[in-house]
Amino acid sequence: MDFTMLIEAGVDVKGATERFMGNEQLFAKMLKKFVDEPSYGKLCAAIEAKDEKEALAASHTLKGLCGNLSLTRLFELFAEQVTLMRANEWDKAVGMMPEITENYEQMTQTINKWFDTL
Amino acid sequence: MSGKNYKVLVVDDSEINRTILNEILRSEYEIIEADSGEAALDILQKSKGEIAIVLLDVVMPGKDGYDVLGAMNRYGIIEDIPVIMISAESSPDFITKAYDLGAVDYVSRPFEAAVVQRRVKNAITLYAKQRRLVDIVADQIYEKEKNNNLMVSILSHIVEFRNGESGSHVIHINLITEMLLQQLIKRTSKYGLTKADIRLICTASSLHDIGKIAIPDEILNKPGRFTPQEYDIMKTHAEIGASMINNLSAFSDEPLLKASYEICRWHHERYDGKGYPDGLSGDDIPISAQIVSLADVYDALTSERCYKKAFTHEQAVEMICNGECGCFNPLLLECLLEISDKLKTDINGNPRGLDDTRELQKLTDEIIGNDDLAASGQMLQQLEFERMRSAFYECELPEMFFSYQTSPPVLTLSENCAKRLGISRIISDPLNSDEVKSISGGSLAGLVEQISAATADNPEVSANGRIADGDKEVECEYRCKTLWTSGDVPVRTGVAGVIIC
Repeated sequence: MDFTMLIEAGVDVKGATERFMGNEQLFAKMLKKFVDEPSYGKLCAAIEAKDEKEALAASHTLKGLCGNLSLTRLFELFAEQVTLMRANEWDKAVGMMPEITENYEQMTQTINKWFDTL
Repeated sequence: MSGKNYKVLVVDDSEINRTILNEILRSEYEIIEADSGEAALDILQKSKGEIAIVLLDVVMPGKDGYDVLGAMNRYGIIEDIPVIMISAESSPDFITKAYDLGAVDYVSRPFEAAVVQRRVKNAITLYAKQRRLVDIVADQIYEKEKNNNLMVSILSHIVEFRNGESGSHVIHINLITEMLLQQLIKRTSKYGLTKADIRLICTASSLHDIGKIAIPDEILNKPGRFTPQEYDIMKTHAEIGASMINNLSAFSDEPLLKASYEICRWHHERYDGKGYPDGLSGDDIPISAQIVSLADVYDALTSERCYKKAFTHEQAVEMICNGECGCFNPLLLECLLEISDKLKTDINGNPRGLDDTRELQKLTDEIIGNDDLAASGQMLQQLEFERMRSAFYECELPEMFFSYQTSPPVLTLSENCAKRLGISRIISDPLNSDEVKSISGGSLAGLVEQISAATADNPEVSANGRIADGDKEVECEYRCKTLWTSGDVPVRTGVAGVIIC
């Protein structure tokens, strides 16, 4: 499988495939699922509704997912957001959303494009 | 090699996370997924003992991982099912909290697949070992309790025999008391009876009449009606029994003695306060004594005595409920009616009580007749060692083992043997057992004949037979060694055997 496009987008493909015991198919399958995963939508809705508890749960789930899939930059962003939310720094956590949104959308687009090349 | 023997419950609100864990583990385990804490608890409750391990996410909407751990503590299953927390949380506080709540391990995301596989395997192995140890200890406690019960039975039988009764009275009282207690705790918790209390009361029920040992023979076994003076003497058995128990001051803290005291002293009290010796009424009479009293009256009515014929089950229940035979707690009468059908079949229809008596009688004779039976602690330890050793071999080897001891006649099968033949592991009086006869049409007869013909000099026998193997029957060979006492006149004590096919 040619992962060049993903590597250029900052995905730690080597780390991820190792984590999936060298099973590239499984890694690809999970990336596909990530694009359709509802947590990001939940995060945006919870921020909109100022539901701090829901927002924390969604951001936390995304942190775990991005970690497992080695979407390194997104993982760092969500990890930081979770820390801020835990520290009751709600405004700062919300303030991260533009950067998160930009990175998330780029990443999902890249993944979709990458799937089209397969 | 695992053959997917173990079920892994994966709890995570994110489908991707569940899928990743499922992919990592499904080659070795059966995976059950739950998408919330609520769903996980539902599965845990419904599948008693089937889940080998839980992989639990911490942060979930609704009940989170900590809530699930808390509930598992409340249900008392946290000790039996290992839980590995899997979470993106890495702060020490979160991890410590999980351990405090009983999680065995903590894996932080992102995780390595191989690490998860290994930790799951380790936790399952560890718990499986622990469960086996628990089983072994439980076995030993059970053995000890069985011996206690045996001593109590022997004691109470001495009383029964002097009383000119069959001896089945004690066993019946035991069974009826247990049935009434089980029904009572279904109806109310107001007496605060635990399982341990129930066992104690059942054991103590055997001693209800021990005071009769002090009643002169000519009164105790008088066929006709008592004179008022004789009746007064007869009535003293309740107080005498109680003071016999009370005088065992060295054991005064034993719960068994407390229950025995209550039962001995107050099993002739009446709910309306017109009983003896103390004229207690209502729930001032301990519930243990109330229940044994009812069991005693029921069994007295349905048994033949030197002064009366046996009433039928229906007559007895009617007489008791009409208040012809005393006055009882209305709740207990309801319990009696509720267990009526079971009582009729178990006590009257089933000769089990008699079987037990016969076996117990044999054993009692043997104990009395054998002066050098005083087994030292070391001997017992040696026995226990042997028992565990053979249990281990039975468990590890594919052959089917069985052993038979002559007195009391008990057939013991190895676990795989019992499973394959589809019969119980321990069968008392096997020569008269339908289960044993069911093994194969008559093919055991040859074996039994051979065993009877064996001698101490020529103890080994073998016979061919057929046993069930799934749907069909297969040829098998029974190889046995008859076991004998040493000494001038060897006595056959049992048979050890193996089934080969």
